[in-house]
Amino acid sequence: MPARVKYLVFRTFQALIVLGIVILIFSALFNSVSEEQLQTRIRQTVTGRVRNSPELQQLSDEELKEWRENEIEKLRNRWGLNQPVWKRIFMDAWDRMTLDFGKSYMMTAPSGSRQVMDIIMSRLPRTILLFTTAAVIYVFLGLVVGLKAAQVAGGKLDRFLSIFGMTSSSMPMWWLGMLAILVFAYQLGWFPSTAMPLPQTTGLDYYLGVLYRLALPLATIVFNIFGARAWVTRNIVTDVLQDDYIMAARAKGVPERKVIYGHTLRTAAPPVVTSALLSLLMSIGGAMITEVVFNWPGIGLLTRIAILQNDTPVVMGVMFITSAMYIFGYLVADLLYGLLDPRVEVGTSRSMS
Amino acid sequence: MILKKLKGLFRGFLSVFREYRGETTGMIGLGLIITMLIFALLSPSLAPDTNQKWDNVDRWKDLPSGAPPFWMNYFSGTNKATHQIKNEPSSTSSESVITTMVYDYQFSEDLPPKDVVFYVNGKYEDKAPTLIASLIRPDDERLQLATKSIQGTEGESGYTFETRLSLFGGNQQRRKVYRFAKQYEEGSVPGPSEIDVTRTAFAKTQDGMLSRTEPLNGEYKIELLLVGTGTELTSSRGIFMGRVYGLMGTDGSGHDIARGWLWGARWGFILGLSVAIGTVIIALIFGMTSAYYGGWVDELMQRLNEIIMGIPTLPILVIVATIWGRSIWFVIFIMTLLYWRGIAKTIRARGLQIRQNTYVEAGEALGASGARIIRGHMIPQMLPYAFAEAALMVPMAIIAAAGLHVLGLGDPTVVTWGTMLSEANSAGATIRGMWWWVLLPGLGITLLGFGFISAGMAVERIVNPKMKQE
Repeated sequence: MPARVKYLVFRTFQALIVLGIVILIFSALFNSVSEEQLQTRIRQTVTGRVRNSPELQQLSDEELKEWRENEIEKLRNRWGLNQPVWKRIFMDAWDRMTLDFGKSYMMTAPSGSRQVMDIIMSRLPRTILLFTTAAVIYVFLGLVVGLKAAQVAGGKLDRFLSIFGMTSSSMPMWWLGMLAILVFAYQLGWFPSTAMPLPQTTGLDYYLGVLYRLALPLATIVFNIFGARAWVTRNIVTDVLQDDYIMAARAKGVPERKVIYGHTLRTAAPPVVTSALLSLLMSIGGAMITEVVFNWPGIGLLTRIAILQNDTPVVMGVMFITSAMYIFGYLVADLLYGLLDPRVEVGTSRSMS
Repeated sequence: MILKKLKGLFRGFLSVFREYRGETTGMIGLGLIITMLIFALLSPSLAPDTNQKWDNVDRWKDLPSGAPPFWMNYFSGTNKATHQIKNEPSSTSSESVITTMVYDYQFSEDLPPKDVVFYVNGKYEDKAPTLIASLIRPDDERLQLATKSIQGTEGESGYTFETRLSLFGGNQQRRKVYRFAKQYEEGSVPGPSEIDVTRTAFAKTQDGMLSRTEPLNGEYKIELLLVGTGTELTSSRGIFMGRVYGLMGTDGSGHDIARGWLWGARWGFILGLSVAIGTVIIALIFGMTSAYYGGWVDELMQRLNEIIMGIPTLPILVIVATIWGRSIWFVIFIMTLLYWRGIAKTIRARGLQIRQNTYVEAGEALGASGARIIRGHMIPQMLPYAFAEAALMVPMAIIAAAGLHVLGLGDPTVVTWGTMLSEANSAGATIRGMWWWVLLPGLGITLLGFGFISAGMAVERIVNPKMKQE
C-alpha cells in the first residue's frame, strides 16, 4: 500500500475512534438525565390516565394500585428503562450516530417539526455563512500580513504584529463583539446592534440586509484572529527563509518576489495551511458565543436559548454536531498536511499543535 | 537532599531570570501578573461580602445602579454628584415628642444625587413613632417628601427599630416633586413619569423647570422629624446616592464593579493556575514517559495523545455543565483532563533531545531506574519549558470559562469577570451605552491574559534559542 493511502486510512480510522469516544461520553452523560426525565414523564402519563378515565376511578384502591404498577411497567418497557444501563447507552449512541437526537422539549423548527435535527439544520447554514466568510477573510489577511512582516524581520510591521497578535489573542472574541456594538452600533450608529429580525425582503435587498447585519460579527471574528494567524505565518516563513536553498537562491540573484512567493511559500505551505485549519477549529467555540452577543440566529444562539430553557436534547444535539464538525475538520487538517508535505509518514507525529 | 535539589532548581531559575530581565514585553507581562496577583490575594479584605452576596439584593440596594466611574466627571462635560455617606446628622435637637435631625448637603455639581436614603435606628416604649422627611432648598422652598410610620420589633424594654427611608424612591414622592415644579411651568409639560425626580427637586424654580431643568446649586438641608412619645434615637445615617460611583462604577443592578473585578482577578488566578499546574503535571509525566521509554510505549502513548487531541473542549464543557451542574471545579477538572495534550507533545519532543545526553546514558549505566532518571534528570531540565507552556494555558482557560458564563452555564456561586460580562450582555449594557460595565471586566481578562502570554513567550525565547532569531 502506498504510504499516502496508508496515512489516509490510518488517520481516518483514528478520527472514527475519537468520534466513537465522544459519542459514548455524550450518551453516558445524557443517560443519567434522560432516565430521571423519562420516569417523571411515565408517572405523569399514568396519573393523567387515571384522572381522565371514570372506569378506572370506580376501581378499589387495591385494584387501582395494581393497575398503576402494571401500566408503569409497560411504559418502562416501551421506553427501554428496564434494559441494562450499558445497553441503553449503546442504543442512545446508535441514535446519535444516525443523527437522531430526539425531540426538543419546547422548540420548533420553522417547518413546525420538533425534531432536534430539523431545528439545528434550520440554523446551521447561518453559522456556516458567518464562520466561513470570516475564515476566508482572516486566513487571507493573515497570510498577506504575515508574509510582509517576515520579509523585513525586526521591522516596524514585525514588531507591531508581535504585540498586536499577543494582545488580540488574549481578548475573548465575544467581548470584542460587545465593544464593537458599543462603538459602532450605540455610539456611531453605523450598524445594527442585533442581527434579529433578519430582513424580510427578497432578492438583492435581502442579501444586502444580511450583509449589513453580518458586518459587525464578521469584523469582530477577523479582528480577533488575524493577528495571531499573521504571527504564526510570519514565524513559519522566517524559519524557511533561514534555509540554505533560499540563501542560495538569493545569492544567485533570484528576484526577492520570486524567492518569497515561489520558493519560500511552497515550503511554508503545509504548516501554514494546517495551522490555519487548526485555528479555524479552535475558534468555533468563540464564534458560537459571539453569535450570542450579536443575536445572530445560528447554532451558538440556539445553544444559549436551549440552555436557558433547559432543553437538554437540543443542547446535546448542537454539541454533537459541533464535535463532529471539529473531528472532521481535524481529520482534514491532518490529511491535508500529509498531502502537501511529502515527507510525512505514518507514525511521525506532526510537529505543530 | 531535598534542600540541595531545591537549591539547584532555584539556581536554574535564577539564571533563566537573569536573561529574562532583558525581555521588555516579558517584564511588562511579569509586572501585570504580579499586580493582578496582589489584587487577587487582597480581594477578600478589599471587597468583603461580595462573592457570597452577589445575588443578594439587600447587599447592593444602597448603591446607585448604572452609575459610571467617578473619574468620568473629568472627561464628560457634566459634573455629576458623587456618592456620599454621612454617618451622623449635621445637627440633632429634641423637643418634647419631636426629635429633629438635619443633614446638610452642599450641591455644587450639574447633576444632583440619584436618590437620598436614610437609616434611622432607635427604640420606643409602646407607641410607634412616625418619621417625616422634608427637603429645604437654598431658596427656602420646603418640600415635604416622605412620611413613614415605623414598625419596631419587641424587645425586653419596649421596641427597637431600624428603618430605611428613601426620599425620592416612591411614586408618591415623584408626584409631590412634580406638583411642586409644575406651578412654575407655563407651557406644555411632560408627564410625571417622564421627569427625573431628583433633578427636578434640585432645579431652579423658573419657567421650564420640568422641560429644561437647570440645577440650583447651594446649601440644601434635609430635615428628618421623628415624632412619637417615649421615643429615643440611637443613630441615623444618610446616603446620597451618586450619579457616579467608585473607581469602576456600578452595573445595572447596583453591584460595585470594582469589588466584583477584584474577585474576578481572584477566580481568574484560581482557575488559570489550577488548570495550568494540573495540565503541566500530567503533560510532564506523560511526555517524559513517552520520550524516555520510546519504542512501542511511545507509539501507543502518542496515538492516545492524538485521540485526545481530537476531542473538542467546548462541547464537552457544555454538556458536563448541563448535566452535572455548573460548578467552576467541574470546569477546572474537565479542562485539566483535556488541555494537557498539546503540552505533552512539546515536552515529548524536547524530552527526546534530552534523552540523547550522555548523563542520561550514564545514569542508565549506573543502574538507575527509568522513573528515577525521568524524575531526577529529565523533569528538572524540562521545567522552564513547562513553565512557558503553563503560562500560555492560563488565558486560554480563563477565556473559555468566561465564554461558558455568556452561554448561560457559569457557576452562579462565584463572581468572575465572565459573570459580570454575561450579566452585561443579558441586561443590554452595550445598547444602553454602559461601557464601563462591558469594558472593565473584559480588560481584566485581557490584561491577565496578556501578562501570561508575554511572560510565557519570553521564557520560551530564552530556553528555546531557535525562536530568538530575528
